[in-house]
Amino acid sequence: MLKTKKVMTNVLIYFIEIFVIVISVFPILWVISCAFKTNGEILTTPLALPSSFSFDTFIHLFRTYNFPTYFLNSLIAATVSTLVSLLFYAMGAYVLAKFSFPGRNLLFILFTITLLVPAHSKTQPIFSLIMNLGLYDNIWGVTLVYLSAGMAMSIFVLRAGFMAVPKALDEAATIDGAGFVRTFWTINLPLVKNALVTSGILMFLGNWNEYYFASLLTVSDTQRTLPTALAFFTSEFSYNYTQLFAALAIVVLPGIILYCFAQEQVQASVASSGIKG
Amino acid sequence: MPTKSAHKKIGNLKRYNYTWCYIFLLPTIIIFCMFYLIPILQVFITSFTKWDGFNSPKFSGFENYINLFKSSGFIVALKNLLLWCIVALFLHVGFGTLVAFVLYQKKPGWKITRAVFMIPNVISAAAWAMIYRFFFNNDFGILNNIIRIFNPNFNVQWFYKSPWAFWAVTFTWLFYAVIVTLLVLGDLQNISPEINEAAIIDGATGWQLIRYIQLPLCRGAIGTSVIASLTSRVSMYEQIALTTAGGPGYDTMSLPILLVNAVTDYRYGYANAIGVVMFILGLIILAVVSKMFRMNDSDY
Amino acid sequence: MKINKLLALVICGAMMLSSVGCGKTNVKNKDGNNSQNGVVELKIPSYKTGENVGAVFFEPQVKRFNEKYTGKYKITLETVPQDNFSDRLKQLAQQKALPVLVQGGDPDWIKNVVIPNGLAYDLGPWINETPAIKDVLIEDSLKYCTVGGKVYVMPMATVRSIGMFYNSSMWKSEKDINTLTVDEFMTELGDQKIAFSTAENGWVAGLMYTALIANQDGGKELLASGAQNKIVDLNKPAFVNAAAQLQKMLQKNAASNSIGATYPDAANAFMSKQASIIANGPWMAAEFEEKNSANWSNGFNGADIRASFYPGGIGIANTSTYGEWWVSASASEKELECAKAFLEFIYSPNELEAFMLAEGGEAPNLKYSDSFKEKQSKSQILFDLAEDATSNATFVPCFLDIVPNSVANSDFGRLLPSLADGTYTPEKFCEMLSKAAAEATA
Repeated sequence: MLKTKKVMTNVLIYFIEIFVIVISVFPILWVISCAFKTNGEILTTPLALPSSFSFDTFIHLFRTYNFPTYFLNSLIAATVSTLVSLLFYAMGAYVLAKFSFPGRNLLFILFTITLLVPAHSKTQPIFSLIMNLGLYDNIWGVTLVYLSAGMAMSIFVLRAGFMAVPKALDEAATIDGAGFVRTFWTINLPLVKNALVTSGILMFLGNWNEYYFASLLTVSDTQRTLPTALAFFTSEFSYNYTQLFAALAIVVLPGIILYCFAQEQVQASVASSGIKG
Repeated sequence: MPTKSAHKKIGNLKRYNYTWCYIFLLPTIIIFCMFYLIPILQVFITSFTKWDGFNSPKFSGFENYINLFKSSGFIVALKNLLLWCIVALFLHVGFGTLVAFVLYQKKPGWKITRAVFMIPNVISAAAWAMIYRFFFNNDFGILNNIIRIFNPNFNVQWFYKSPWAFWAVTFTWLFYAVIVTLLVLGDLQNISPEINEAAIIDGATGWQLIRYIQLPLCRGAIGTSVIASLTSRVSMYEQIALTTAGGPGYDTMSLPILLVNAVTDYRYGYANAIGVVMFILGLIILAVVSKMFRMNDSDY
Repeated sequence: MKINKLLALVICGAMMLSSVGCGKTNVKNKDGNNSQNGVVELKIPSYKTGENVGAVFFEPQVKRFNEKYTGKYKITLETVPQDNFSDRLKQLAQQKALPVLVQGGDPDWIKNVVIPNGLAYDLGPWINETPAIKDVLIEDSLKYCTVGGKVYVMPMATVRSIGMFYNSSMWKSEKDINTLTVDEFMTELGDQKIAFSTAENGWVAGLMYTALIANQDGGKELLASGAQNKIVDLNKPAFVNAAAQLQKMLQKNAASNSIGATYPDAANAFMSKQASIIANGPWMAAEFEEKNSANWSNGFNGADIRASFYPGGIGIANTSTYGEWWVSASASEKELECAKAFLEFIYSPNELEAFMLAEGGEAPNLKYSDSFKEKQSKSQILFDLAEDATSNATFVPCFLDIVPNSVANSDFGRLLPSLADGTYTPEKFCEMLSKAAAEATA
């Protein structure tokens, strides 16, 4: 009886794992397979495998466009903004989680509603800010804008993380003579690695894929990011789906590879810290 | 009995902490002021004006709000939002949590599952819309072709026929709950092994362990997930715009669709009134969920 | 900590790539428009570059201009994506950083911001002094571009009227299509399929709807009036009756993928012989050339494609509108000279003819050269359209241009599937559209 129950549980577990893998991997495989199909094949037999494998489209894209530069720009913008904002938001979330001080709730509410600011109202202020800083058509201008992108979500995730760190640890550290900064840096930060990783990944992937501001704030080829390059294939009457999907694959795959790589590296260092309870 | 000097010391410590608190918050506040303060103020103020986005706004009192409440799409959009929030709360967060618990068992394949679950988040909305149009297409879509194996006369345009369209749109995000999974899994991994062991020694079965020990300990993560997924429902745009555009009729209408339509007509005042409604809904969600999940008090 | 290692790796990778990347890119000089050696250089952000359909003609044209004026003027194109191009112009205008030559922009924005705020240079005196230009301009467009005696936007010289394409290997009409009535056309059509799109703004369906409206009593006048003031009341008989005909077409003649189809889906239905008719502008002719045959399937052959105006001799074109170019008011004397030289160049007979051969269209005030006529007659599609345009044609603006933007961009496409499947009667459909239009202008 107990055994059948265990078998059932296992079946359920594997079923869910397989289901998640299928719904996650299918779309990207589909995108890649479409990069090898003709327009007609994509639109009429979307699920069939391509009739022939030819890398011509990829070669054409790499010849015509400077993808290494775009890749590098995307990497700089996404990595730098993620690391810097992760530090900033961790500091903010830490005090929001652990201390009470005047204005705490107001700030928390303000930071949260940034998630719902309509895009159209942000365009003008951001454009004018970047212009005035002289960062128009400069990848660092885009990087600066990306600092703001994950604010609400990161504050949220990190605040929840810090709240789970027992206050007793802080008190012990204070008694040992640790100052405010050291309590934060050496006691709390290592214990919220999971939250840091989660919000870091979300911000990184969000910025890696960001299109609107990257394309609005840059003009020259040397400052372009990957998603902006992709936009050239999606204009209203362009009809070349093969190129669209090839370009999409070129944009998306490095992001996924970077993510998987980072996930392994980072998770390894986040061996269960066991701070709860 | 604390002495007078100890009191003074605590007072000093508190003030010292205040200073540090604000120093720590400073970078976030600066970013907020640089990128969000003006837009937020602008949305609130111009929602009470008639404004085309270029010429100076003219004060019009509550006219935008009255027009909005009277418009055909608004009530439906709110009703849809409510229904989507309920689905998100139970099914979306529920599924994400379930996957987290499955991964926590660390059966073979859990690492790869965790890694690939993020992939759908990386694919652009335009590509997703295409995928879903193929999936739900009446003629050559996968779904209907499978159904027609059992019922050869089956014909439904999922995205374009009431009442199916609502559920077809829901389906586009329902299972993609990787954020929930990562948050909950993070909290689960933070549970110290001793607690689980102690519970097992006390005779807790697997189910009881989950129900009485593990689930309550990820309360914070689940609450955070609920807020995150409900606020994404408030701002959900592309999944709808690229598939049904709010139709058929007003079946899948949402606030962001109404907002973008107003922007295309240069009715920025009206659009911003919709923005204010979205802010208010977000705050309500934040307040209610925080209360429900007792998120402001820490366990420790 | 492992994170440090990761960071180091990322930075290493970035540096390696940067060395690869820098090998390939040549750093652009970023100083202003006036460069050395007395050459006046203008930088124009343009979306008609790279992969864009418009690039095929526009990029070589700019090259020809630069060759003609070597050592004097130079125009450099900056490649920018099309889909937020008008956003970019609005922002640049607000920062007083508009390029000297501005390509397009949102018409409503030009009307309500650019002109009242004096952002555009008055081209009027120059046009009056340059008869070669003035004579080729279309009068309606010149009138539309003139505000208070000043011409702020370069008026159009060519107009591309939108008709429809049909696959002559699948279907041929006994009589000229543009002499038929709608009913005769539908009878002729029989069971033939028409490619429609209803997603996005329902572009292809919108064109057919326009043609049907224009064939109703008073329909032409209604459409024409909408070009001046957007139409909000769509309950008029012309709209309702045309909706009834559209409903019939969608139910009987629509290609199987029509409902929910985007423009590429509709184009593909046509180019894979799932449909024998598609409504679209002459620029689509490029898709039927042999060099784009990769997109054809199921035995489709571009050479079979013929073009025609709609039944009742209807062509969709709006001449009461802005041309493509305007000049920023902040331009210096030298920059103005260069900009004018460029405009003069692209409005020269040779260039206009080259444009029409590449992308279709007519220039009503241009006396065509013989070589142009000869080349045009070699392209079956352009010839078909030119022939229909000179006979008893009536030109009307597109339905999607005469209703409020949100109705055209979103509501029309949203409501079409319900018209197609019979959920809405034509009356209900028009009532829903009217309601949306009324709310959009409240």
